[in-house]
Parts: sequence; C-alpha cells; structure tokens
Amino acid sequence: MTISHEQAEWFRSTFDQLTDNMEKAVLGKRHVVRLALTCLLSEGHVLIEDFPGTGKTMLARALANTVQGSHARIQFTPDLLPSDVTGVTVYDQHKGTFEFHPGPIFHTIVLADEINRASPKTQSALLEVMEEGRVTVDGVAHPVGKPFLVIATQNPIEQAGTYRLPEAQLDRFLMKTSVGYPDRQATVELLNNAAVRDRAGLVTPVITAATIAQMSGLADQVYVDPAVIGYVAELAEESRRQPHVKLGLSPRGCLALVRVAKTWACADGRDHVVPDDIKDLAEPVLSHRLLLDAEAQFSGVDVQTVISRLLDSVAPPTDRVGA
Amino acid sequence: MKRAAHASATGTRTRVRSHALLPDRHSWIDIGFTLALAGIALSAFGTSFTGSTYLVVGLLGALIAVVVTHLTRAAGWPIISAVVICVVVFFVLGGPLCLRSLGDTSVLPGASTLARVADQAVFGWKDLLTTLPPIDGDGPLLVLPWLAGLLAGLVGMGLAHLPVRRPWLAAVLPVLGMTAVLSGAIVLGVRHPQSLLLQGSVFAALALAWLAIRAHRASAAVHGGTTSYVRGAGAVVMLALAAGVAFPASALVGNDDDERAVARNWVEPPFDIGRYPSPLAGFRTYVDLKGTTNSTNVYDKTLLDVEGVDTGTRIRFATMDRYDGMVWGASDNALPGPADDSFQRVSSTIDNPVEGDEVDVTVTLGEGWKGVWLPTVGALQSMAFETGDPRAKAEVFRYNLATSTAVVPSGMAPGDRYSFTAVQPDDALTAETVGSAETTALPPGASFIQGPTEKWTEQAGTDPMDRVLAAAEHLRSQGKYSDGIGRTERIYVAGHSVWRLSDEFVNAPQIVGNDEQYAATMALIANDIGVPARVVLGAVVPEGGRVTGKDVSAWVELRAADGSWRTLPTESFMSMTPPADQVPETNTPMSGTVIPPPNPIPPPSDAGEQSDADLKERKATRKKSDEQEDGLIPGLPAWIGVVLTYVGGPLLLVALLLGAVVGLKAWRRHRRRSADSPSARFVGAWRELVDHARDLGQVVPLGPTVTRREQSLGIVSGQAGPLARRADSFVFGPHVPEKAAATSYWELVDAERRAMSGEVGRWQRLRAAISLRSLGVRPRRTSAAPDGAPREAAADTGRTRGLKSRLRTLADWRSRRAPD
Repeated sequence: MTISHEQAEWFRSTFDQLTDNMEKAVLGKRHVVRLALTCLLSEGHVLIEDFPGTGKTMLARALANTVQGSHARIQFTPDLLPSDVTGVTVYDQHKGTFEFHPGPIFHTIVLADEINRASPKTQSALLEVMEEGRVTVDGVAHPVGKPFLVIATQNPIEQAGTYRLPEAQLDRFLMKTSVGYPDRQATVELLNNAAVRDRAGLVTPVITAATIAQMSGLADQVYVDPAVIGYVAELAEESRRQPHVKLGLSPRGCLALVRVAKTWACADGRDHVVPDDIKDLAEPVLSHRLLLDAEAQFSGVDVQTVISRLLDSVAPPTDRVGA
Repeated sequence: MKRAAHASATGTRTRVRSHALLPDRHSWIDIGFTLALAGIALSAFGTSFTGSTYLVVGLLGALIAVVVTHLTRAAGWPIISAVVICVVVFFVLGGPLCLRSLGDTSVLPGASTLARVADQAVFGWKDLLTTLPPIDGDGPLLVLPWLAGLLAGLVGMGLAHLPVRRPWLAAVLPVLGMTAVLSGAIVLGVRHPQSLLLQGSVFAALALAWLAIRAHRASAAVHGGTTSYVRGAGAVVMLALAAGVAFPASALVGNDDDERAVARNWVEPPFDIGRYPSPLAGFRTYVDLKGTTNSTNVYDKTLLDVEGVDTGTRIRFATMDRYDGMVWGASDNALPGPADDSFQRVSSTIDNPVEGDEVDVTVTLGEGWKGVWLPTVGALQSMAFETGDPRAKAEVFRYNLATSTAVVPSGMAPGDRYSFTAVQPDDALTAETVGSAETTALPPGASFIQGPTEKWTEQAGTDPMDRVLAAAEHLRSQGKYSDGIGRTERIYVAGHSVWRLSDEFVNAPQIVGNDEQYAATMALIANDIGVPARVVLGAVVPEGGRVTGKDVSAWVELRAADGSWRTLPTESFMSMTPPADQVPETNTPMSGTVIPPPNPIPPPSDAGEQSDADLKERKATRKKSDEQEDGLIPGLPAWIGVVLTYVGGPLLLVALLLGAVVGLKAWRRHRRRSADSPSARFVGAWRELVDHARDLGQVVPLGPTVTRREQSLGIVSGQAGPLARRADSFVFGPHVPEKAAATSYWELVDAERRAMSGEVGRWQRLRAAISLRSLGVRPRRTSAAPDGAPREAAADTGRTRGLKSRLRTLADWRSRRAPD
C-alpha cells in the first residue's frame, strides 16, 4: 500500500506551513528548517552542530514551539548527571514507597543544548530513550510517548570544554546538520528587528502531536523503488571502501537514509523516492556516521570531502529494476 | 562479474565491469565469418587486377576494420567512432600501401599523397570501370580494394553488433550487409567472373552458416540457451541444400557473359577519340613531292624502326571505322551490342583473346613521327614504354580491342621507344572468305556511292563478297593514281569528303586519287553492299624494318562471317597508273564559266596531320560543341562539369557524412522511442532532450552520477525541470508506467525540443542538427578509486559540486514542479 497523490499533496502543504511558521524565527535557513522538520516527521533526532551564536538553539526552540505539545530544554554542563536528564526515584515517606520523578526528557520535544559539554556518562543516558523511546530507572521502564524528538546542539569539538560524542550516541541521531551564518539579506532583516529579543516566541504551535504521528505514518508508505534501495546499499558498501574511512555506513544508517528520504519525498508532494532525495540527504544523514582515520586530518580530508567522493563514485540509477 | 550481477539485481547500474579487449567466443565467430566473406567478396576483383596484391591489401583493410570495430565496441564507443578511425586509417595507410608505384611510400603521408588517395577513392571507380582489365596489381587503383576491404570489415562487424531488438533481424543484418558488399564487388568487376564456385556456393554456404549460428545464438538468448538436436540437424541439411543449389544456379544465371550485369557495361569511358584528327585526311604528308619541298612532308623521313617482325608485316597506325561525310575517323562503340570497341585504359598486360602467332616487337619512333597514334602490329597482349616518361605514357595509354588501335593522348615524340607483345591473327582475304551478315547502315551523306556500286557490281552476282571484289577490281582497273603534285595534277585535291569522293572521284570522268580516296571509297562501297568495312592507315614493313613515309598506305578491312577482320590490300582496289595528260595544264575557261583554282596542298594544322579545309571547319564546329558537351552533364559547359567534378564530389561526400549524422540521430531517437519497456522510453525521451540541448550548445552536466534533476538545471528550457520530474515519477514511481504514458511524454519532449529550437536562429538549428556533441562518448560509470585519487568518472565532479550549491540557492525545486 502506498500513499496516494492527494495524501502526498496534503503532506506537502502541511509541511510547507510548518516550514513557513518556523521561518518566522529562523531567517534565511529554509533548507535547514526543512531538514529539521523532516527529522521530526521521520521520528528521528537531529543534531545541530555549529559555532556559538549561529541560531542553533533558536532553531531547536522554533521547532519545539511549532508543535502543539510539551517541550523542555536541558542545558548540558560538565556537572550534569544522568538522573538530571532521565529523572530519579525518590522515597515517599508518607506512602512509604519509592516514586519515580520524571526528568526533562519526558516531553514531546527535548532541546539538549550543548550536548557535548556534558560528560560521556551523562551523554550515554540518552542512548536508550533516543533509540527505544523509554527510560529504565531502577529496572522499571518508563515510555516517553509519541512523538518524541531530541534536538541536540553542540559546538565543534575543537572548542574548549567539550567531549566528543561516542559513535553509538551519534548513530542515534537521524541527522546532523549545521545552521551556518545567515546571508546578508537575512542578517539585515535580523538587525532591523533587533527589538524582538525572543524570535522563537514568534512561533506558535500550528500542528498537533497527533497530526505529526499521522504524517509520519504517511511518510512510511512512500514507495521506494528497488533501484533506489540498491543505490543506498551501494553507497553503504562503497562508504566502507573509501580511503581514510575507518567506520563506514552501518545498516542503521542505511535505514535512516531511506526513512528520511521517504519523508523528504513526501514533503515534495511525491509518493515515491528518487535518487535525488538520497543525494540531497546523504550529507546530513551520513556526516556523523562516517568515522575517519587519523591520516585523514593530515591529508586535509574531512567527512564532507569523503561524502562528496562517495556520491561521485556511485552512479544513481536511471531506470527502474528490470526495465 | 559479481559486482556487475549485484548491480543488475539492484538495478542501480553503479558498476560496469571493465570490458575485455579480447573477443569472446561469439565475437571470434563473427570476426571469422566477416573476414571469410570479405575475402570472397574481394576476390571478385580478381579478374580486374593482376597478381594477388589487391587481395592482400583488401584483406588487410578488412582485418583492420574488424579490429577497430571490435575495440571501439569493447570500449563502449559508438559505431561512428569506428567509422572515423577507419577513415583516418584509410588515409594514413592508403599511401604506403596503395601508392607505392607512384613513390608515395612514406609512413606519414603528405598532403599530395592524401589528395591522391582521396582522388582515387572518389574517381578511381570510374577509372577501374573504364580501364581494360586486368589492371596492374601494384598501381594506384589498389586504393579501391583497400577501401572495399575496410568497408567490408566495417559492414560485417558493425552490423553484427548492431543492437537490434528483433532476434531474426539481428541474425540476418550482417549477412545481408556482406551480401551487399559481394554484390558491389561483382558489379564493379568484369563480365568474366573470377569463380562461380567461390562467389556462389562457397559464399552462400558461409553466409547461411553464419546466419544459422547467429539465429541459434539469438534463439538461445530467447529460450534460455536451450536448443534441440533436431534444430541443429535441420540447419545442417538446409546448409547442404543451399550450397548444392547455389552452385548450379550461379552457373546457370549469368552463364552468358553478355548477360552478367556489371557496371562496366554502362559506364562510358571519359575519353573522346573523335577529338583527334583523322590520320587518313593527312595522307598527303606521306606522298612524294617530286622535287618540291615542304617541312611537314615525311616521304623520305624515318617514321619508325621496327624490330621483331618480318618484312611485309602490316603495321597499323590507326583504324578508322566511322564516316561522317567529311572524313573517316576512329570512333568508340562503332560495333553494335556490348563489345570491347572503345578506347580503354589498359595496363601493361592486356586481356586480348585472339589466336595467332605471337611476336615481340620493339618500335623506335623516328624523326618523321608525331601525333597521338601509336603504331602497333596485330592484337596487343602487353605494352611497355621504355623512354620519354614511360610511367606517364602508361597512365594515359588507351587501346581499342576491336580496332586494334592504340593511342597515347599525351602524344609521342621522335626517339620514343616501346615494346609490345602481339598476336598476329590470320587476316588474309581469300576466295572462301564469307562476308559478315551484319547489316550495315550507309554513313550519312554517302548515298552517292549507291549508283556507282550498283553499276560496277551488276555482273558480280549476289554474293556480297564477290560484289565487293568486283567493285575493287573496277576501281583498280579504271582508276588512276595521283597525289595531286605537279601543275597538271593539282586538280586532284586532297580529302575524302562527300564532294571529293562523289563529284571528283566516282562520278568524275576519270577516277583519280591516291590511297586516301581509294580506301575511303572502297570502304563505303563495301558498307553499301553489306559487308562491314573500315579503313586502316599503316605501313608495310620494308626490308630492314625502317619505315619511312613512302611505305605508308591505306587499306581496307572487311569483316568476315566469323567476326574476324580481313585485309583488302591497297593494290587490290587502287591503280598505280598515273593519269594521262588529258587534263590540260592551262584550262581555257569556257564562256561564262569560272573554274576555281586548284586547292594547294594545305600547310599542316596545329592539330596534326589532318589539314584539309573541311576538317578545319569541322574542327571549329566540334570545338564549340566540345565546350558544351565535354562536361559530365550534357548540355552544360565543360567548366561547369569540372567544377561539379572537383567541388561537387567533395561536397557530396560532406553531404553524405552530414546526412549520416542526421540519420544516426534519427535512428537513435527511434530506438529510444521504441524501447521495450515503457520506463526505458521515459529514460530515452529525457536523454533525447539532453542530447538536443547539448547539440544546441548548452552546457548540460553529464556523467554517471548526474541525475535528471541536476541535468535539468543545465538545460535552458522552461519545461526541463518538470519534464525531469515527470520522468522520475514514472520511472521510480510505485506503478509500472503504460506505453501510452510514454508516448504522451515523448510528445511533450518533442514539443519542448521544438520550442528550444525555435528560440535559436536558423544557423544554430542547422548546426545542432549536424552536431556531433551528442554522438560523443558518454562518461562511463566507474567504481571508486582505491587510492583516493580523483576518479575517472569525476570529470564532471566540479560541475556536480557546483550544482549542489546551485540546488540549494536556486529557486525551490518544488516551484518547478508540474502536476504528474
């Protein structure tokens, strides 16, 4: 069963509304906004890495505000403990029992600000909830509900006082993207409205959590031709053969790429994925999943270069399978 | 292979295995059959060339073409690249291989060599057809088998690997192509085939065997490689039957050489013997001037020194077989029906099937000889010029098998020496000789001869030959001999026009003339009686072999019933008795009558021996008509013909090449439009749009990693984006597209192509139509480079990266979207 044209068109229309809504806060970054929304509708989590002051938190807050639901912000610091995120079990003297007090992770959208400033121990506290949508405390599992989205921001690892996220943690994020500096026009507009201190406050909820869940369901029904699937598989295989790549694309990464491509295609009003979707999303989906070796840095090769070579070395399909 | 299989399973076409340059089993079979059939086809030139060099050169060409075609196919290049490479090879190796006899042996040919190769390729066909075979096997005409070999190899292998959807067509096409090559070679050959067995049965057997193998191959592809022994046995039986039938059939059909259709039958030699003056008209340069002097007279001068023949042998200067009312002259095609009766180029050896004694003769031209006619004896078998730029003379040398007359249009000069082998047939006229029964039409204006003929032969019965001899006897007995020298004989003027032969000869009170008038009249009489006759100017070789002007005479040849020509000697119809002095030295004019003064012996004309006033007038008339008719196109001036020949030919070649480009594109479009699967038709339609944009000069990103959407950004067209999106939606959509949808999509693409063409000028449209850009090599899909070096396929990498940024900065992709 695949999505119909009408459903795809509705999806596109709604997606555009969400984008327009978020653009009230995030000026001139429509592509990044679309990527973040795609991540939300794909039931994934997004990692935004950029230099301070580029609007990472603004993007995360705008995304949280656009969805009618609860959201929380966790400012990650070196002394943040895992229980500060997940919650703790406290002994109730009146009842004589231990009761679980949910942490800030139990919200629809969680903004994990500067996640790489926390210690690895605290970062790892997010592993279970990001992958399985539940928190286990004292042997008791506590579901966080749906939809659930973690929007994490981080400073580049070269910045002082940061801890590199472990590979397992990175793999939990569906996408990693950066906001980047605004262009001149956006900057001028931003300065003209400098009186507005909280631009994220301009973003009002325009979609319910139920609708988010409905859109996610529709995206899952988008058709992916075997030729396109083969293309993704070939990309994964080729990523492991690329020079300077220590860790290539995992099966989870492949699944993530296909999942995101479905939503991306649906956001374009299509009921099918085309190779262009894969190419468009390759960098945000793969950039945090490829681990380069030590020689890469000395050779001046970064992960973007590797991905570019990867896309240049694997030809996308031009025809359907069996044609 | 594993990777290729994986790609096939997923349909990503991300890997293409590196093509092996060595042929596989099927390719070896195709190569073998192509070379074998090309060899048989080339053998059709066997009767046109001497030796076997033509076959070696032709087979080498076929081999090169086969290898080039295979390698270009293995490299994935289009067939046009093989054609281009073969053209280059043709010119580069054409000089060393084919023009060695002209000294063009350098490996790197110069401009003159290239021009000569091109000239032979374009105009050599006519030279081949108008040259009496066999042609020298090492001459410049070797360019033709060289070209034919390349062509055969290209046709065979090109068609063998032509992607054709219908299996039966794929099996038949190369066989048909090689059959066409054989047919072409036969048409360009001679009426006597080289070998009916070879060109008939063997070719048919090989062709059918190849056909069977290819059909089996196609069938195996369709049926998964299964076949039955019954089918194989049937093929063998069919082969045997075909070969068995082909030989007797080929032996029966066209067994008569006259029925064998060859182009030689219809191509007329580009040579007009009629432009040269009749040597008979200049007979008085050979007569005794009796004391007077004339620088042109050669009575006492040496004309030839002949070695190798007996005294008394008749040596022929020229045979004149057509009378036009003015002169007897040499002509082409005087005999009815197909016959070798034209002046054809011949090589050093001449295929001249005449029975008789063979003689080896050497002739050295003396001081008195000039002109284009070449004295010979009997029927030539070979000719070798020894002095005076022999190669140039051999190039232009022409010979008429029917009249045994040789001519060197560039002229012969005193001191020139040549040798030849000839066969002297029995040409004696005997009492048993029966005249030919062929009816001969009396030449125009020669009806005056009918009365005297009737009168002189009324006692000779009805036998034509008897009547001819009776008329000859009458002339000999009643006529007188005079060269018109001396005051009393000046009235016997030169020439053999109608006026001279009627009023001043046969109808005159006294028949007076010399060899010129007697031979001319005798030939007319014989033709009137019904015995084909012609006039020969020549000499009887005297003791010592030195021929002077006084040895020159004119005689008549009569055609016998067996087709041979018999000599009617001069002395049998010409009197040697001088006229009596009945003609007064000083005429007293009668009252009221003005007798014109006798014609003096005219000075020699620039054109040669022919010198009488009538001939001058005739020449003037002919010169004018020559200017109009010598061209390739009758009715147009000659210069137009020259321009058409040297400009039109190359233009035609260019037009053919451009037409081939247009045809290739049309064929490519047809293939794409009629692809098997509808989705392939969508893909083909999009590629057609991309190719059209490239032909228009637009920079469209190419490469294995470029998608349709990325390409659409490089196409200057309002609908390129929606069309790319539409193609993607059908190709990668959830439903298999219908053919009707593909047809509709093609209509959209065609409309967009027209719109794109409409936005440019006419000249750019024309350039786009003949542009080779879209026929060029497409970048191949390659795998990742293991060392991290830039990839082969990344020629467009920079462009692709640029596109990525454009993709993000250009207007939103969705704004270009059209409803599906």
